[in-house]
Amino acid sequence: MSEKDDNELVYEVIKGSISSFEVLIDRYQKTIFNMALKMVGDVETAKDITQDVFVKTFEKMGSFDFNHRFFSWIYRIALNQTLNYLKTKPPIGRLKGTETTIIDDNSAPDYERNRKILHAGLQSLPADYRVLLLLKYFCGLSYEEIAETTKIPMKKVRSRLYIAREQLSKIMIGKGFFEND
Amino acid sequence: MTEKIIIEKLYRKLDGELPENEYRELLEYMIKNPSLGQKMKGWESVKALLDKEKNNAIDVDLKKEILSRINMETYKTKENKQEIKIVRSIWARPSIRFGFAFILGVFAGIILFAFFKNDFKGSREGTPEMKGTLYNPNSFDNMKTADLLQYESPLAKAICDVHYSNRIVEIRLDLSSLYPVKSTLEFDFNNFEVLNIQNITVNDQTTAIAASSFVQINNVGDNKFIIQLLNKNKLPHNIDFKIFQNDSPIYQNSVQVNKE
Repeated sequence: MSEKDDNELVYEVIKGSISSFEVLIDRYQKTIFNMALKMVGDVETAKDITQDVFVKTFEKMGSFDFNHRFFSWIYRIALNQTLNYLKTKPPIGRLKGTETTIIDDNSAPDYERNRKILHAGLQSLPADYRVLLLLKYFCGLSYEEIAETTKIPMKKVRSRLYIAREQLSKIMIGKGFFEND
Repeated sequence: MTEKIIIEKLYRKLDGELPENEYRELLEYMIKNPSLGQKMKGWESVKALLDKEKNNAIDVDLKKEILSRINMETYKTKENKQEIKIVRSIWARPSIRFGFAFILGVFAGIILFAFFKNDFKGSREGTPEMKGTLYNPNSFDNMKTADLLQYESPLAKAICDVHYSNRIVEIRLDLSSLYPVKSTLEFDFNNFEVLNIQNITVNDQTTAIAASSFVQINNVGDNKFIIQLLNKNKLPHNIDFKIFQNDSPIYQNSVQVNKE
């Protein structure tokens, strides 16, 4: 994979390099796909959303502001795309289409059960809170980076994350998550 | 510190985003309130599960699908286009050239206006330099008097009043004759130029002709004329006034303008 940083690659894409865009796809498709999957709960829809995100990114590449970081820009496009989808269609209650694809080294039935509880918990959260948890724990962004991506002030990010975690814990306790600890 | 703040700090600690000084405060509080530790254990399990989920994230390769959806035709055309950069001098830009010409024109206009305004301004209270305008006949009285020629005979009667300023020579000519007479004002075209001839009392049989070095009036009856000449220089020059009947001179005189 290319060692060039994101903004360098964006510059090259604007100049006409398709291979640089391919590097960006390689770098972000997995995270965006999985984030979309956790949001919408369906593999095919998540794939469609991921494709849409990259097509839109490519089309808007010319307007990219080099004072910002690329990941916050593409994640923002991904969030908008996913939230727009959710506005028209509600999320599916369980992860459809992932049963056979997950590489699970903890094949114990407890893990599978906990996964389902976690997913159900995430789906029960309001989309605004779910997004923050996904950005934090799936995309691995810091509070500052989440604030940059969502355009929410950092204090609000902290406070919303607090509420999101509290709610998720409560939901998971309610579904019996800690019973097997 | 409220419990909410403490728990929020605990979360931040688990996320690795709590500064050292705040962590020390948190530890002191935790020692006093060990029940909070239990609460955090619960969240740690959730976080561990989230981390595991992240590690088990599904791998996808959508590159082909994405690239096939991008309008490559448009893109390739864009790519093949050679960038042609035309470096043009600032003077080659039409806007600059027209702008410059416009400013120059305005500037020239102002200069010309300032130059001629003395003669074309309708002001009556101007300096003596402004006397003798075309459009303000009243200024005639303010001009210098060159001479007043008078002639009277049974054949014709003429009064020729000549005034001048630095730029204009104005002649008021009253001609009266029962039969046709011809009157001329002759001058050197290097010194004067005809600007205007006005027949104040119009008579069908009377004509006025202007040439570069003379003005000729063919008169029958009573007529009044105003003749204005451009005074080309300030040197003394003569204007000859003549009256003819049947091409024979019956009166001849000379008026000097720009008297020293």
